[in-house]
Amino acid sequence: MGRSGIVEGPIDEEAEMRSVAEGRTEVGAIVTFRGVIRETSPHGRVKFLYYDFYPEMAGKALEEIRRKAIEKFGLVDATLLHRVGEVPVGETALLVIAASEHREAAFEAARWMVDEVKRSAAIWKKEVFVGGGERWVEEG
Amino acid sequence: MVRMRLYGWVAERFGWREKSLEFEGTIEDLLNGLNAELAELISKGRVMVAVNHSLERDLSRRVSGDDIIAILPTFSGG
Repeated sequence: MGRSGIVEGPIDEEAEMRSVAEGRTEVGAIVTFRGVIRETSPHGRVKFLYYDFYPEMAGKALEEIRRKAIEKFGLVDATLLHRVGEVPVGETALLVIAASEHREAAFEAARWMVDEVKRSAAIWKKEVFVGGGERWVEEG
Repeated sequence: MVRMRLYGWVAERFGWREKSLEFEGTIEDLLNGLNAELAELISKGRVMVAVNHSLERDLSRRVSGDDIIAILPTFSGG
């Protein structure tokens, strides 16, 4: 079964993939998106990102996005996880899995879920740089 | 006791995360009484207000008792 939620440690992507697809013989396409922490930033060399979040609002928003994606795109199932706290370079901060009968729905749903997380989940990130210094990322 | 929460860069800017205070009145009065800069950030649209875990645009809404008022920067997850 797919799921949604805030995660406070590394995400086991293989396990999440298995739980979305296992035994679902109607699934013909699985699209996975991993939002990974990159080292480069216009403001310096990133050591890690720190994610702050509003527990009651963020968790609810992630489940709402997952539920809407399943409805809107007719998915068989979906998973939407966002890691919080310190996330080092190279590790996954956002995992989106969309499973559907056909590929178009899975591709579109995955992109839509990523955009919706950025737009409506009460989560904030701060770049922490190698050698000191930090900067909150402001969108919009 | 009304509970106030700050998140993201707002919490760092003001140096606190959560406060409880005796208050009954509008959100606008609460913010003006608490910190003029905070009230200004909201009027300029740089931050949002949530009451009891839902975004609230009406600053004339009255809050009291167990209400939780949160000040939220623009979301930047992902």
